[in-house]
Amino acid sequence: MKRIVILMLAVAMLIFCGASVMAAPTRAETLVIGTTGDATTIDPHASNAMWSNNITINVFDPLVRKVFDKAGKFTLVPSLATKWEQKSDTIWILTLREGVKFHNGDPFTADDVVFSIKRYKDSTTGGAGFVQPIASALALDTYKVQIRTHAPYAILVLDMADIYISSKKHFEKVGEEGILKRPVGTGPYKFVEWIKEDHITLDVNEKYWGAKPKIKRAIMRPLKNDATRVAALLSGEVDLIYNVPVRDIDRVARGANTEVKAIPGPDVMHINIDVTRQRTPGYKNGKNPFLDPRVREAFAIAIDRDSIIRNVYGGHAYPTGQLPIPGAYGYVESIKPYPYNPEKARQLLKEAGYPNGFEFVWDVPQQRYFNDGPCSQAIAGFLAKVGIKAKLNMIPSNQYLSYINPGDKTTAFYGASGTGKGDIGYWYNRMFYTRDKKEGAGGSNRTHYSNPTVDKLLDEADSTADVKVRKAKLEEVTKILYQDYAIIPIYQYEEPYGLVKGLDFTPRVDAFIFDVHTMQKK
Amino acid sequence: MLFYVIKRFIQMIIVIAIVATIVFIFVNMLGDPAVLLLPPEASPEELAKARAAMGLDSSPWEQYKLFVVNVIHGDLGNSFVFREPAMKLIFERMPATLEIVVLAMFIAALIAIPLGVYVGAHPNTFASRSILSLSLLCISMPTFWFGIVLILVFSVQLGWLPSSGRGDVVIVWGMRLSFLTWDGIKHLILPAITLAVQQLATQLRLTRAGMMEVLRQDYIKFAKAKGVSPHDVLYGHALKNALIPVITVYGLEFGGLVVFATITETIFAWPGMGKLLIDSINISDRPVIIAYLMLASMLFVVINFIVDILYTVVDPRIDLR
Amino acid sequence: MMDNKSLISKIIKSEGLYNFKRNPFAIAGALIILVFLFTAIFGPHMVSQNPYDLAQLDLNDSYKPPIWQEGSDPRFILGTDDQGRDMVSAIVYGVRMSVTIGFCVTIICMIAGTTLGLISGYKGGRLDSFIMGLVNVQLSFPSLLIAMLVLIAFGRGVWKIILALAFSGWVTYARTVRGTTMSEKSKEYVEAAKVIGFPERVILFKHILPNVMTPVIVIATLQIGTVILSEATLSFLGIGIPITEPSLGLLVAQGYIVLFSGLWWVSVFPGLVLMLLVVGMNLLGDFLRDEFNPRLK
Repeated sequence: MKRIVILMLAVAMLIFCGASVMAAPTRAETLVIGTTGDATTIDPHASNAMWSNNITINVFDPLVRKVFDKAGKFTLVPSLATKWEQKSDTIWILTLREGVKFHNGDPFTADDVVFSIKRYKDSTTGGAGFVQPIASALALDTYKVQIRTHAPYAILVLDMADIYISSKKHFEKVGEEGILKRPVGTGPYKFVEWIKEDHITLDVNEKYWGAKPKIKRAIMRPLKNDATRVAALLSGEVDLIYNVPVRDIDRVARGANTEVKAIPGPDVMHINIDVTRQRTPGYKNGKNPFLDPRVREAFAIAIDRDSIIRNVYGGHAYPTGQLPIPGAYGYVESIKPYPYNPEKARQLLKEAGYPNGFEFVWDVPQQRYFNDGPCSQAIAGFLAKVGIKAKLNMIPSNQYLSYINPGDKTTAFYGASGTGKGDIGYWYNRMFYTRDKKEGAGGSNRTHYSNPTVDKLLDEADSTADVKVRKAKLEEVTKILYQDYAIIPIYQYEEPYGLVKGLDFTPRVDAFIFDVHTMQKK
Repeated sequence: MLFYVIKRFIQMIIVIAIVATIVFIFVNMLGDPAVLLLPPEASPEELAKARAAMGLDSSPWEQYKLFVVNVIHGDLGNSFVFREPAMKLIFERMPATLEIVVLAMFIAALIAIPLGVYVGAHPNTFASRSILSLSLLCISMPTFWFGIVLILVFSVQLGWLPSSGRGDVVIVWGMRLSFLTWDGIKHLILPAITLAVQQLATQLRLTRAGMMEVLRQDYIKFAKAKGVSPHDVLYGHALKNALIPVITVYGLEFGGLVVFATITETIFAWPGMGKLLIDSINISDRPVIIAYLMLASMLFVVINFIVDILYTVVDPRIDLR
Repeated sequence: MMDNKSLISKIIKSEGLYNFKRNPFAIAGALIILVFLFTAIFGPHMVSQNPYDLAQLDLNDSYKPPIWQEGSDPRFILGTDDQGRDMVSAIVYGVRMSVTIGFCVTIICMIAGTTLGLISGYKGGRLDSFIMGLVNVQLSFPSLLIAMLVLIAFGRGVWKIILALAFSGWVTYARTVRGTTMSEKSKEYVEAAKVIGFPERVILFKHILPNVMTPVIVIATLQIGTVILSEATLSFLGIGIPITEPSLGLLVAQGYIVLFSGLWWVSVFPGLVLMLLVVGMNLLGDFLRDEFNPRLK
């Protein structure tokens, strides 16, 4: 017995010798954010991996920064680039901000911009997409960069908001592994630590070139579980959470110390159907029924969007008839959601030769999109009521894209398209451009849509340097898709944020991002 | 003894090799990690580039050969997501898991063994029957459901205990530990109880069974006949022998709990190994899945082995061969 | 070997039945199981709604509370879920799903494990080492993890979850049966059968099998409960059954999402039913184990 006591004492002593208690930050100066997942990398030039963006936007500066107003509309303001001029259809000259220093003291120059763009291009983790239209970047002098695009490209400035600059010198010093351990940027916050699945800590950069941030420390905690996240907000453990579950919105809004801020999000949920192939894999009895526009119309008007939004989303979503969200290039004000009319849908099916309806396989992911399970069941329920039996083929989230991407197995699938960036062109090119006709287009055209007029309009939109022309062409495509019933948009969902009262916070439409230096606690 | 140890050791290696192969085959049937890691609008060229970077562009057979060579060199590969060694990621999270598992085992033993002894010694009293029925309820209760109810009562309704995360930690030799701060302990309680409940019931029943068995043995009858007090018979003579099966199961259950903690960790957002596994599965992070499963099976095999050895120490009558 | 008549009369006269009648817990367990079996077989014909048929559901009925609460609808005694599914109907169908999976898995495991155990114990030698090697590999791996892996690789579905759970559940039978077979093998009646010249198949399945069945039945009773819980756990983690055909575990999982919003009935009722079902199985299993393990009496 005595020996055990001595042993225990020794162990206790060893533990306390090795221990160092972490310094507690003042809670009032700290903003704790509850996110729905952890970051996956701290490499600013990797893919758009959701929560990694939260490190990137705070630790690094983009060339231009998006600033959001209370209505959720953004304006582009100079950040590391102070001026951008278009020299010719494909050549742009950027003037850079002088006197900016990286967190480690390195001065910021044109070399860093050229280096960063090159690093995006070389990325094997999805970063290349951000600079895809850019052919080359060249340092003209210390604070001037020339950018050449492959073709005339009207929305380069929009893209520049997603180009973050890291230090070339630092990279040369520490190498690939070094910058994956500790990111060094010019942004308003410095990286402190990332304890995986637990938290990310960022501290204010006292020497930031812009306005001094009010919040001294930002902590991001991944709280994947909806219930846990809400509980953490209600109990005051966190100050701000992303994605308040619809059923909890009222409770958080009514909370003594909490409120909800919600904006229409970037994603439109839609059903893609195969309107082209004579025989389609998800339909067993001969000719593809969706070739008949009447069947497509019946499909589109059989779904009671309002009921789904009311019952599944507690009213926190907006019915829509097009993929672009309001404000994005390609959005057409006059297009309204397909009206709900089950009688007419039944009538149309009868006329088309399906008086008893038909059965087809609908590919649906499980837990990939917000509320995808309940929603797809609800949609299938409405379709069933007019006689269209959608057999739900539930695919695990991690196999979903591999399953639908080749396009040989799918007849109809449930998908989302996000236009948080403010332009639908990229999506249209991938989803509706005829397959295998032009390089880089039609890659996600899983339903084999093919329409020469659409192809031509998209070509024209991509070869103009004039934003107005591009907008007009994209809007034209939106109208054609609507008349064709080429895709059945359902709704645009709301992004609800829960926050403690007194926090000055404006949600961004390019969701998931918390630009901490724009926030303030009371 | 030495021969036995060597034999078991070779067996262990064979088992782990088979496990590794099976896991490798299964994991190769998961979704394409490139598609999952890149943004949905990524082009085919980007996808091909990413696959090459992850070493997925060669044939499965080539990949397997490379995998075997690397494993022999102690390298289980880098996580596709974090681009860090898979083993390092797992070890980083291991203390968190061990913390709740050890605490859960401790809570379970503290309650289960005395109760088990009582129930085993007085099997026909009302209290015993109630305890036994209650333990049955614990075994029959879905763990995840119990965890949810705990959160609902103690975090949401009463607001006594936090529902997620680890709280303040103390760093000891590079390990982050929660149980040395008050805040950390508060975070530990609910997950540990959730994990302990089934464990408690299992241990209680085992102690009871062991106790009942031992009490029928002749030497206990002798002791009683000799006039040793009932208390001494129970705790002096019977308990020691009744604990043998408990120790065995204790070992095995420890391994089981480490794995079972996955569910508890998911509910309480506890940043342990189990949560890493679930996340890795969802994004097809193959090296992490393989490393985790190999580690888990290794843990099981080693624990089995240690338990067998311990057995002989506790009860010399057992012959290893 | 005994014929059926003598088996039945033996059961009626047996000490086991006597003990069973005197043990309220065992009787309760058996009753619970009977009720659940009845529900699983006939329940779906008796409830008002087929919760798997989406055309019968009305979204406007979603999240109605149980009838004793305000805002309820008399059609839905225990309320409804997110799709407007009647909870009573959903639970009845869920019971059928859980019970089906429990029995299917157990029967598959029982047949596979017993056969392998018999062969392993009787034949010995290389075949024995091979089968026991397999058993060891499986034992070095928690069963839930194996099931998880199988499901993740092959996707969701009722049959897939049955196979996934069976894949890891046969081991206990094989081990136990092998041990019993080895001791039975050397007994006179087996020797006699060999001398008479019965083929091996007959000796194994007609002579030895009846004598190893007792532990097999005990293991099976206890396993059903475990299997039902495992299925619930996997479905809770979102890798079990597709959400269009909910089992009890999946119902709990779906209710979990809204539990904190005060919509407790969606998860609490299926959870309670699930617990009751497993309690019944365990009560009976416990009794059988104590009964057939005379050392513990």
